[in-house]
Amino acid sequence: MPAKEELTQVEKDKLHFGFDFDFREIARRPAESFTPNELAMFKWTGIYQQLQKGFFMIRLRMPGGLFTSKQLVRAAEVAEKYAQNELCITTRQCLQYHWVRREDLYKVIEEMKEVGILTKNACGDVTRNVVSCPLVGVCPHEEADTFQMLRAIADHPELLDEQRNLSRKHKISVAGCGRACAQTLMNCQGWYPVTKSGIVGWKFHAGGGLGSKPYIAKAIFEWVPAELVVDVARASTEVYRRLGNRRVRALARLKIVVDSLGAQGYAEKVLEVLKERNVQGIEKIVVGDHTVDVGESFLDGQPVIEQKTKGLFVVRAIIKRSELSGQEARRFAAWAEQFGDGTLVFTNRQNLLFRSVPAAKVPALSALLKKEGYITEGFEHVPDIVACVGTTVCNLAVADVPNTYKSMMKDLALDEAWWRKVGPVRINMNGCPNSCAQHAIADIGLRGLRKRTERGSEEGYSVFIGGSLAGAGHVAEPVCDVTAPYVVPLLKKMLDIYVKERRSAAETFAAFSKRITASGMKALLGDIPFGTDPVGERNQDYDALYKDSVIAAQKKVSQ
Amino acid sequence: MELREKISQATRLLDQGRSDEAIDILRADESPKDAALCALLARAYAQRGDVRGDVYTSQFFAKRAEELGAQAEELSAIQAVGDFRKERYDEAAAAFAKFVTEQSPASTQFLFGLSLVYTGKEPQGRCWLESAAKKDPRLQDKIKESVRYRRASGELKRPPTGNMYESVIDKLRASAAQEIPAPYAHQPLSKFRGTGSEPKDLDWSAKNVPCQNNCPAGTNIPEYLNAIYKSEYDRAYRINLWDNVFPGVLGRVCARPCEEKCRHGWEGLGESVAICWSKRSAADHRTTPFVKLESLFPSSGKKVAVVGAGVAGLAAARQLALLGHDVTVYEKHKRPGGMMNQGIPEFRLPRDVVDHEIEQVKACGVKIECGKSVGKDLQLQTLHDEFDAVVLAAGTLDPNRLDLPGAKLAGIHHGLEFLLSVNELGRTEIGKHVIVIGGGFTAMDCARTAWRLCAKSVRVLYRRSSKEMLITPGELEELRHEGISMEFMISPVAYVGDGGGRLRAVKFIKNELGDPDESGRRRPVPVEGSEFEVEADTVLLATGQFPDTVWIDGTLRQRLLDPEENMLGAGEHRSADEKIFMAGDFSQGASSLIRSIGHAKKTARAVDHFLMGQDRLKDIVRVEDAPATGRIREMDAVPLTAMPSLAVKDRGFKAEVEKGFTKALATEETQRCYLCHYKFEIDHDRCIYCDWCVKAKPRPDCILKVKELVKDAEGRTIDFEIARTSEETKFIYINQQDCIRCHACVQACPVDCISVQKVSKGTATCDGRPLV
Repeated sequence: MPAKEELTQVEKDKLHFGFDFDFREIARRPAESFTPNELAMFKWTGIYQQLQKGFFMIRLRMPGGLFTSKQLVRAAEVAEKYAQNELCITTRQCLQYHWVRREDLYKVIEEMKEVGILTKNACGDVTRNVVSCPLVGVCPHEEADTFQMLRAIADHPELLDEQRNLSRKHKISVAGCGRACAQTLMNCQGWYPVTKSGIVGWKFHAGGGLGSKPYIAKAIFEWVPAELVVDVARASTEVYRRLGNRRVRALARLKIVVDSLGAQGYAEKVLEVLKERNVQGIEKIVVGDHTVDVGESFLDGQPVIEQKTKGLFVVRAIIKRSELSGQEARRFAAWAEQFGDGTLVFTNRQNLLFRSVPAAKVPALSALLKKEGYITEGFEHVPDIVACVGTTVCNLAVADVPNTYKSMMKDLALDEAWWRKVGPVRINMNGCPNSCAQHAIADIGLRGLRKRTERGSEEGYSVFIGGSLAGAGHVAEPVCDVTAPYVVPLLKKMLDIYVKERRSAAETFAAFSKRITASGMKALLGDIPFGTDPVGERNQDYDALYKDSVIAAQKKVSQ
Repeated sequence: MELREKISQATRLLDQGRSDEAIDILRADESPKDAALCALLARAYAQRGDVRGDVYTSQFFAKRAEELGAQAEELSAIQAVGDFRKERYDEAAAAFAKFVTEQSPASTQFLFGLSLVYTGKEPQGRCWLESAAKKDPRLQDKIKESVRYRRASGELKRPPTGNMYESVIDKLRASAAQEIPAPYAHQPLSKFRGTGSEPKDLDWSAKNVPCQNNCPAGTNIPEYLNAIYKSEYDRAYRINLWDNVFPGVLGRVCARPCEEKCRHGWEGLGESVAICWSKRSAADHRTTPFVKLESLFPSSGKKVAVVGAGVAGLAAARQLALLGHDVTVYEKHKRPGGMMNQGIPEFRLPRDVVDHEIEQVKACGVKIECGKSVGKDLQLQTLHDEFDAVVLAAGTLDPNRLDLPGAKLAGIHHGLEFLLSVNELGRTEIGKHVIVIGGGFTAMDCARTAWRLCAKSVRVLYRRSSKEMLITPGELEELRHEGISMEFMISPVAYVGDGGGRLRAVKFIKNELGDPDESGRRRPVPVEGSEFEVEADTVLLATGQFPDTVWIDGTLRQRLLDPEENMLGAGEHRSADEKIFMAGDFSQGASSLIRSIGHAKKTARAVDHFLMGQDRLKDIVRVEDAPATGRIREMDAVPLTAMPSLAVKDRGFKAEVEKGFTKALATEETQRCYLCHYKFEIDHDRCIYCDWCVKAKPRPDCILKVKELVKDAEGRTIDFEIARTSEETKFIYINQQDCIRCHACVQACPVDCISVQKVSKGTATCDGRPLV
């Protein structure tokens, strides 16, 4: 008979090493006792090996991105002690540390656990951090108790402790309304409240996911009674556990299962599991016609937003390159106490916001933020760029994203008059074809590439436009490739064209892209400024000089 | 290694520019806590190259070294140079300012000066540049060139370098056209889709599909194995029937040159696929019992005579019939088939299989006249006069009788005559103690037949070692099962009589192996004084045979034969007479069925060219898009399937020893095939050099970072130069020779730039009509 597919190495590793490690014991063990596979299984505790051997990244799981000031102070202390004094905000509303040493891992885990924050399931083939809208719990449009529902899903023992052997990562979003703020359509499971006959229930989507091949979620159930949401979320996870492709990692996400079964087929599978589990009341679930229709994001540039409780406000701040130092984090915690209710939310655009700031205190907080050098204008505009860590610390990246980010901030974001004229535009940039920085659903997406040339290597990006998580959702389409030093001139040219060609100021870049499409944009761009002297080539001429300089300095030290 | 030793060793390496090796020594599973170690890591990463985060890493370690108390200047230099390399000129200038003095080397002053110029501090910068130029005048030109450099202002200076999403290959993939030339000269085939027949096309197939390349008949082996795996037995049989005429026969007794070259049998990859036995399973399990191939061309009106209805004669006849010619085969025996009927024993090759496949040849229009001996019943000259062409496929019927003392003694037979007698009469007289001399197919058949004739002892003695034997794999094991002894490195020197004219014993001498002879096999050299006698009353000589030419008559003899009565042009397809051709063993000497068939097919093409005045068939490769091969890696680990065989106690003359694969066993075995006819190729327009495929590769050399492919004048890839550094890497190359078609790279590729295509070698008419 044909050979049977064996367990993949990942599956074998899961069984061999288990999901949980004693990191105190890990700290004591000699370095040579670890196999690469054992180190890889640290992911289930939120830990990745860094590109640089001997160092680790560790991620904090924070459902909905919500932190108390006390928790943030502790996170700052941990950064200062164990992680080069740096914290990084992720697009799934987590914080993560880089450059952590193995002997310090357990300290990070234990010290954060003391304030109620886990690293468990922050990475690995599990349900990852459950995300929500940045305004969770306070949004004027919120139609249900979103945060309570989010925690009910995120902390359910089945998802947190039992379903830890999924075929791949599993991502859930719980939104406060039918708008796109919580990125419903790019998650494995996407939930938002829907009122039917006066009863608040939840619409269930599944099968969204980015990665190297993005998929937009399908609507599975039109309406699920609130009391069944957790059961359906669990059942959907169980369907994924059963049907996920365990052999080919590239085909292992839920998006592939849903895509192959179709919305109706997947709905039937979930219902089967619910019946199997003898869940009562499933007849109340309305399957519907699987229409996907998500509203435009409510977040559209507002620096300050009035909450559903009148007189209280959310105040937003852009965090450059999503990096915080320990001191900054402490400062934010203090300001949250001083001006708001002592809570902060980290957002999917890698920024933060203060909550429940009384009207009277808003001007003072805004002024303070500005004085301390934070950007408080330009949300969802040019200055609000999402960027991954790129080649600096990531094994997979092929482009130095932070460097390009820096050029963009310097050369585009400082021209306020210009970007105000441009209007809302979400720019996301990624160092590799994976989608940590979600380039596939942005108005403008940049994805790292590396081109070899006659004289060496050129770093560059593929440029995409037209990604959207509103309406039925749309994956961004490629316009052109550009080498890194010429990203700025290209974006400038592209956005100038938009300003010139849009029908009116009301036609956003997103609407414009949809109208003209990527190929239309390419035609309008005409000659694309690739430039004459890419960094990789030119700098090779200096190679000997670099070495001379460093060696001369080194010799001087040794004298 | 002690830390101090590590540091000094790494320092030495760094001084020699061997950064990667230094990093390997310095990198530890533990994060470093030593200032000197961090400083050295900083230097190593800074020195390595502008890829994969090295600059950031060097800066990290420089910073960490400083924190741990290391000297500042070196570390400032690393940070300054790192900033400069990343065009962070502000930071670079600030870092250089910390340590650059008038005593600093020219290179450092130069970089500091440029940093200042690039950040708008031109007067200061120029001072440093001038100072640098004084120290090293060679920098003058570089200064002029560099100061001219300005960051891009947006104007276009060169055409776009291409867009991966509009790569040429993407466009081609989307095209519905059946025939698309390869877009780039560096590609291994001339066609992206369709059929190609350029040297590089056939070369690709020859190098990559070793089984098919080593099959003299060019059988499309991977395709039929895959068909069997999919239970498409009829299709598999048909592929074989087209290529080698006698699938049922060859599935039992082929010499299997394909298995010798099978990729699965390469060192470290396990055992070759049982191609021959799988072939038989297609014949055994097909649902269409009788297959008649259709003619390729309408009737030509030309008449061809074939002398000899052995495999070569019949193969040539069928090919010629398919080409539209009127073919008559003359056979002196009562039954057609040659060695298939008269030589190979029935317990290896049931006669109904032979007869059936000969019937299929006849169905193509071939007429066979048995009992007609050319030279006796009719003359070659007559055939020459009455037919448009004549093919001589008379085999090798002239036995090589060893010229030894006592050769006239009773009890000495030639093996072929012995087998013919057994096969025609059912049995023959044989003594009690039989010696078979030889180490080829005939020797094995003689020994196993003699054993079945109830000889008390059967011994096979061969003058070379087992490595030099030309036999079907597995036959030695069968010999052992049947209790027949096999002795090597022994040559006969004389027959010893009993005084009454009968054989009593054979005198042998031991050999050792000397230099290779013209066949490439090592020559046996007698060991002086090692003679010994072996008692025997029967000797069967399996020492080869030659083409017999005595039957060629009259004037033709003079024209066709050399003074030693060998055919002129032996080994070739044409004889010295333009109307007379040769096929199989008659031309090339005794060999195997499959070599005879391969030779005969070529003869048929030569005859056709002669008759029609042009080539009408050509070899091609057919290139088709293929989403996947359908293989999984676990198939690699499936062990070779054993052939079920008859218990020794049940073996006789007729009962077939090998029982054949059941359908389940055939599936089991054919799944092992690597499907070498699939080509995996990276679209270089689209590759982003992420190295994910390199990380996923299962073999050390299947995916390589290459500086250059070396091509010959006709575009065949003959070598490649490996890139030593990332800067040298021109592209990532799937080395087909080492590729095991596992799909790991395709699955790892994030941008879908690896295409999979099926490349089938086959035949087409010269006007482009593909066949089969």
